[in-house]
Formats: sequence, structure tokens, C-alpha cells
Amino acid sequence: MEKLEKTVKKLKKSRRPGISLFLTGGYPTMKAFIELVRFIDRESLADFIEIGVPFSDPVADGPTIQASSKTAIDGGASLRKISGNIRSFRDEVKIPMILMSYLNPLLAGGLEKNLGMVKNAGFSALIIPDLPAGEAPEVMTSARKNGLDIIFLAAPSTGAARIRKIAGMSRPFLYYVSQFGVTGARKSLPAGVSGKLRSVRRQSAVPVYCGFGISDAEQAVTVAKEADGIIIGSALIDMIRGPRERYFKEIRKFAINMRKRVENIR
Amino acid sequence: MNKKGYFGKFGGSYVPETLVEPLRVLAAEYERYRKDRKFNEELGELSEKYAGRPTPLYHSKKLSEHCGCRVYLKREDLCHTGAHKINNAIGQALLAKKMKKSRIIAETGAGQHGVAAATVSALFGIKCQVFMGAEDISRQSENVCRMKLLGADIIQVDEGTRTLKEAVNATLREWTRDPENTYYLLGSCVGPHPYPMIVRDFQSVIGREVKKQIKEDPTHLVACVGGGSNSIGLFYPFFKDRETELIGVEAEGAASLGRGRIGVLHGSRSYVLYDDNGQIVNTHSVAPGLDYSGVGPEHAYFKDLNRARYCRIGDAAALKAFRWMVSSEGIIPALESSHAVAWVMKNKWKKKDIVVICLSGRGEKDLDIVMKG
Repeated sequence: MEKLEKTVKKLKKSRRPGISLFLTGGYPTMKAFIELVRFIDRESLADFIEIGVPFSDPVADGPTIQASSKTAIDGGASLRKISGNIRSFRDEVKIPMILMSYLNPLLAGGLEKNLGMVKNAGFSALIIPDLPAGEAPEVMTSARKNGLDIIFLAAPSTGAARIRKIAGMSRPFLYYVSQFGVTGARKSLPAGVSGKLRSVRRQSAVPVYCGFGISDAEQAVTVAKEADGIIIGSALIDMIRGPRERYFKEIRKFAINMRKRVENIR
Repeated sequence: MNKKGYFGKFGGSYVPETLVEPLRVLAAEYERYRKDRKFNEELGELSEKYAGRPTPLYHSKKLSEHCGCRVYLKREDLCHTGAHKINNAIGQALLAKKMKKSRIIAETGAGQHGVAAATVSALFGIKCQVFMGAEDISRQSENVCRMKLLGADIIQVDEGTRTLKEAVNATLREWTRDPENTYYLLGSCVGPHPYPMIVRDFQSVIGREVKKQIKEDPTHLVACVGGGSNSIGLFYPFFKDRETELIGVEAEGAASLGRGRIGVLHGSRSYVLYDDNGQIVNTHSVAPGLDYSGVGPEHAYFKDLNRARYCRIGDAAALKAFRWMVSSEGIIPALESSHAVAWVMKNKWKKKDIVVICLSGRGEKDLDIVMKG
């Protein structure tokens, strides 16, 4: 069984909510990004690491990830470079890795070849924010062929029948977008998020992870009560600034605190 | 086009999940109203009495003399607000009204679609926000003033090249924030299904009128292509008329069909200008409405079918054609439309050729650019 799927199953069994941390590949620099991945892995600060391929036109992302993507692209980051760098230490990483990419960087130069490269780098699954479930089935076929799962997204606007359909295609979990709008830390979560998560979980045959806008332990607790896991993106990226030792410390504190708060929630 | 919104292998709906349901609803509502007698009566009435349709098909003697064949101009520049953009804006605003939306959002490059959206929003009493790149705001200041006077909020977009591509990104993001109450009035035949179809349908009035107005079958139809709405509107009713050649003219520095590869941008699969890493590349054109890295999926389909031919014209030739039109015809064409005129002036013609150029808009908005150049 795949590393990612195994971890998701284990978490589900132990009833502990999973935590996924998101990093923009190549941000703030390729070297610092690699150190971040190794740091999160070494200190077991997350159950999964989600790595984003920076894209010039990230329509699902808010200001934080737009800015980190631009910095990364300006620094020369690309799908090829990120995969190449990750691949060089893939056997040393314990935490399963998920690749987030908009569709165009995956298509450029050939989907089949790119997905082979992604698999080879050690990734277990893909999140493609501009590929809604059911569109371009050849992407799923190609991912399967290369031994990669696709994690599809569901949103507050998604109806029950479609959630069942998405859950039927999504492996090893379904990514529920907590709110309308784009990614980015929010002061508060929408009022109905707990109820909505409960109903999504009822419809879904696979575990449900929730992301978009979760920025502190308080919000993480709210979400983790109803979801199988949480995904933290922009809030983490916002910490990456200034001297390395300082943001390492901040991330460590943030992740450990978050883990502690959600650990025995059920 | 098939049920899932594909023209051959182009089109589709590549959007964040949040927009899947709003797009499904939009497609369903559009299907309902496109056949609705009352809706079409209202649309017809507004097109005629408010927007000034039908626009004339003008036989330009001087262009004909210059080219050695018969050349006609389809005068979309005479539409209310000064460009063909109003055709689509009226249709979609009517749809927004029927769908009881309280807010219209729109992207704009040259400002022509922004002005059209602001105009129909004023007419229907719907709040309007227009997203526009900072670079375009500075080079199309006349249109910015018009939109503000019409009561629209202008949201300046500062990311990337600060032109049309980024304006579309910003508008799509805004739509995901509140799709329930917001109508996204997209201005070109780009974006996810059903937009390329809706925009084409509302712009097809251009080609339908030409068919009625011209006595003999035209041999060539020529129109500029940025996203491609005026050209698809002219071409589409002639799709089955195989004897009529369809020619789309792109800007040299923004030729998605001429130099792009198949990719996904702004919700659809089409020809797109991107680098080896899949990053969308920056474009340049003196005409802001053509300054775009993508193109409508139906044009990509026409290209692959060899049903239409796509050519390129650079800034200098477009500016030359602009000046020629002003001094010889007494018509100030938009810089976008000047690309189509420039291609016709450059091409070699036979005496029996009958050429129709879509003069998609007027050029008062471009005087700053032309006078500086």
C-alpha cells in the first residue's frame, strides 16, 4: 500500500485528526525550501507535506500564495526543478508528500512524462485546483498509470450528489474547501462550517480533510472536530520571512501547539 | 459544441470546484432564456433602440481602390458605447436581471467591455465592479473616466503585467467569493463553459446582419482576434459557407493561435502562450484589447479544422493603418480593429474579391497611445 494511503488509514483508525502543511516549492529560495521540507520531516511537524508548484496565474489562491509563487518563479522554480530536488533525498523523507499544481504546468511538455517525473520524485498524490472532478478524465487515467492518486476538492457550493461523485473519485481523501473565496488566512471561519463538514462526511466514502483559511489553533480545533484532518497553507507561508532560525522556531511552535490542541479532540 | 462545453478538444471547464455549481446554474438558465420569446424580444428591442443595431455595412471606396477589390466595413464602431462589446453586455445583463443577481463584475483590457458592462449596469440599476490592470488604467484613461461616470467601481489590479490576463484572474477570484449574488459578465469568448458559447451567441448578430446586408456572398471575412469575440461573432454565421474564407488577425506580440501551444488558461483548453515550465508568458500589443496570452476555444477549433486562417500584424503596421483610416476615410478605428484593416491593406487581392472587415470599435480611446507613439 502507498505511504500516503497507509498514513491516512492509520490516522482514521486512531481517531486522531491528520495535519497537512503546505509549502510553495522553491519559496523563499530553492535551498531554503528544501531545508523546510527536511525540517518538517525531521521534527515530524506534520502527517503530510503538500508542495505547491508555483504558477503564474493561480486563480484559486489569495495574496499570500500569489506572492510566494511569484517569488519562487522569479527564483527559477518549476515542476522539473522541484521534482529533481525532492527526488535527491526522497528515500530519507518519512512523511508522505502531495504535489499541488495547476493543470498547465502539468501539461507543458507532456502530461505522461511529467507525472512519471512526479512519481519518481517520491510524491504519492496530486491536488489540481483547476481540475474539477469529472473534467479531462485522461488526467486521472494518466495519474493512475503512474501510480499517483488524485485528491479532488469539494466546496460549500457543491451539492450532495456531486459530493458523492467526487468522493468516489478522490483518493485517499477528499479535500473540503471550508469557505467561498480563495486561499489565505482568515480572522474567522464561516458560521456554518461544522454543519457543512458533518454533512460532507456523511456523503463521503473517503476521509474528509479540510483547508482554506485555517490560520490558528482555535480554528483548527473547530474544523478538526468534524473533519478527518486539516490542511494549513497560507498561515504557514506567512511565517516564512526574516532569518531562517526565527521562522523555523515559529513554525515548530505553531505546529506543535496545533498538534497538541487537536490530538485528543474526539 | 458538445454537452460538456467542448469544441472538438478545446474548451471545457477548468475551474476551482467552488465555481462548478454557479457555472452549471448559468448554463441551465441560459439554455432556458435563449429560447424564451420574451427574453429575445427584450434583447431585440434593446439592441435596436438602445445600442443602435443594425450597424451599417459600409462600402469603403478608398479601401476598395487601395486594395483593388471590393471592401466593406462592418461598422461596430457606431454601436452605443463605441464597440461591439455592447452586444454581449446587453445580452448577459438581461440574463443577470432574470437571474436576480444584485451585482455585476467584469474584467476589462482596453476598457471597452468595462464601459459596456458599466453602461448596462447603469441601465438595469445593478451595482457594477470592473477589474482592470494598472497598466491598462494608465493607457486607457478615457474609458476609466467613462466607467466612473457610469457609476462603476474600478478595481485596480497590480499583479503580473497588470493587463487583461491579471484582470481576468482577479475577477474569477472575486466571483468565487460570492457566486450566489454575483453575475460575472465575461467580455470575450474565453473562460469556462458556458461563456465561450454565450458570448459567441450574443456577438453572432454581427455575422447575421452582414449576411442580410451584403448582396453577393463575401469571399473573405477579416477581423482582429484578442480573446476573439468580434471575430467569432462575424465568423460563426458563415461557418457552413465554405466559399467564404475566414481570417483572424492577431497582434504580433500576442499571437496565441500563431505561436501558442495547447494549454489551459482561465478555465478553458485552447492555444495559450506559455514557456517550457507551463508559466503563462507576457504579451505585448499596442492594442490593449489584443494584449492577451490566450484565445477563445472555438477559434482554436476553427484553426485545427482549417476552417479559419489566423495571421499576425505588428504594432507599426496597425498604427499605419490607423492613420490611413483617419486621413483617408475620416474614421478613427480602434487600434484593435486597425490590425484587421492593416492585414487587408497588406494582402494581395483579386478584382472579384469581396472583403468584409469587422471594424470592431472606434479609436477615441486610443488617442493618447497614438499621439505618444
